[in-house]
Amino acid sequence: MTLNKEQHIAYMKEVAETIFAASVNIAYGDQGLKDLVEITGVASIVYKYIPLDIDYQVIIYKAANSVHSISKLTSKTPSKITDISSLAANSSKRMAIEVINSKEIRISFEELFDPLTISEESVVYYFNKGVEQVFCKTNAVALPTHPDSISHYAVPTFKSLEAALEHYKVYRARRSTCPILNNVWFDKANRILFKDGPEKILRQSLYFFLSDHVRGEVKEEQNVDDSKPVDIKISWDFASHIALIEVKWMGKSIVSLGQRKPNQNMNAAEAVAGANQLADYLERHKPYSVTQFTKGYLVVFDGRRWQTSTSSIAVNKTNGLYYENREVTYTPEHHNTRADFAEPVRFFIEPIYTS
Amino acid sequence: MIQSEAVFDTLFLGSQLQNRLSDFSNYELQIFAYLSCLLSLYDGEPVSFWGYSFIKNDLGSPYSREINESIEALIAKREIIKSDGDFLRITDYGLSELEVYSSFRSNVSRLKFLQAACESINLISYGQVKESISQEPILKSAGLQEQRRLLIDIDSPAFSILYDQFEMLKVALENKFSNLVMPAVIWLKYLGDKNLGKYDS
Repeated sequence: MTLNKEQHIAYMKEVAETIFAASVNIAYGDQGLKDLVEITGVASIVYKYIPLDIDYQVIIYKAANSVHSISKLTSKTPSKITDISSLAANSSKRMAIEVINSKEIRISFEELFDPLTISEESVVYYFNKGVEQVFCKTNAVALPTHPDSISHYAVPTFKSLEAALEHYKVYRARRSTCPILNNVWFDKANRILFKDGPEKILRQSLYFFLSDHVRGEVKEEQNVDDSKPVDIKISWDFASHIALIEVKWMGKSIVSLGQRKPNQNMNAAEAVAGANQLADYLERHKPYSVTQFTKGYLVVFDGRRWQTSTSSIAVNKTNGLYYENREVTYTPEHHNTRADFAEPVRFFIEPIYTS
Repeated sequence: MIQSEAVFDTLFLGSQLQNRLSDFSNYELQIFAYLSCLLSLYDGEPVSFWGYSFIKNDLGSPYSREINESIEALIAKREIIKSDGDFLRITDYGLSELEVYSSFRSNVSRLKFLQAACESINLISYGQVKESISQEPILKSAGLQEQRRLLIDIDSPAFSILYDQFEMLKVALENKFSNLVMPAVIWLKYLGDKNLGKYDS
């Protein structure tokens, strides 16, 4: 559907209303926005050095006046810190941080104050036991949640693709917590069978995750040559290092419960075929990339369940997790015979089992 | 010859990105330089203001030869060092040189664009900025074409679409925000949401 000009403007207005920084800017003016940028900058550095968890309470603010200085809001003398990395050695789970400037913060450990006592004039960020807010005068505006992180300012970024894939495997694929990935199931309530043609959703889920988290150039479906595409291509430092990712899946897909046969029933042979296909891609990619180091990655989403059919609506733990630790045997083992072929990665996705 | 605006932009963007991400890559510098350039257009500057140009690279991302040459020159002068594989860091010497360059009148006028581009990752995520930029009309249109060509070309249809978006954004924001980072993040978020199909129905 093509939108007209008025509809685009309406959507832009809608976006403006959802961005918490806009609310801060309107409430406190340009100085408030500057303060917010400083506060959030400090938050992302602090969260690199503390093991932020659900039971933490962290206030970070910029005092609008001397009455709001941290020494006046708490009873103990605050610690002056010029190197935030020193927080790594601190075990406190409750801290109030006043941002003095880009090089100095002052911290009160174990003693917090009510943000509402200063938020009429000062911009305050508050992480309170898993809920993240920025105060706009007397209103607390919730920050958007992120599937990979407890905080908007602790979202991980990865230089290494292997580390990113490991994170995806544990935090997004394992329990289908990625919102895109979770649309792949015929029934989200049991995660036993895929919808028909799940490839696109699986690829998109991985693509958006990698694009969001990997510090390289991530592109979906790049042509290796005139005929076949790989699913995802990642380049670091302008193409001196390139990763080609081929996505495959295993499991059964259906369009209606109880249909005579699954639309597709993919098993280990599909993963092996994918590895051969990728090796072939890499061969054909060579003439195009004499100055590049290219490495192939086979990623296999595993939604196989033991003893299930197209009419299954429940699976027990034994059958649901039957394939959890059953790795695919690849013949030939391209990952052991070629330097440009990474060890295949399997994302086993758990069903919701009954016992 | 090394282009002075590109040298300044490399040092400034590099220092800001390393504050936020610990270090930076050539690719990240190019993305944020390109975003800064687009913000100058939003703010009413002519195309010639930016001082150097961008083309589309093989994967469809913006690439400026001038930025690339600046990085190489600054590495040779030890103002930038390689820190972790292909990642880079500005040295203390580079930071002190940046302080000197920041006072030059020609650079002062670029600061607000560079700053707004970098500050955008304090307000929306790094990944969102990166992904949304690839959805702006010029890069999106360039991605469909094979040949390398100048990205900011006032005669291209994509350039008109970009200007139309900027005009619509100005109408939508009704002059509520004077700091450029706000239109920047609202526009980027709009591009990202549009790509995810949020406005399709």
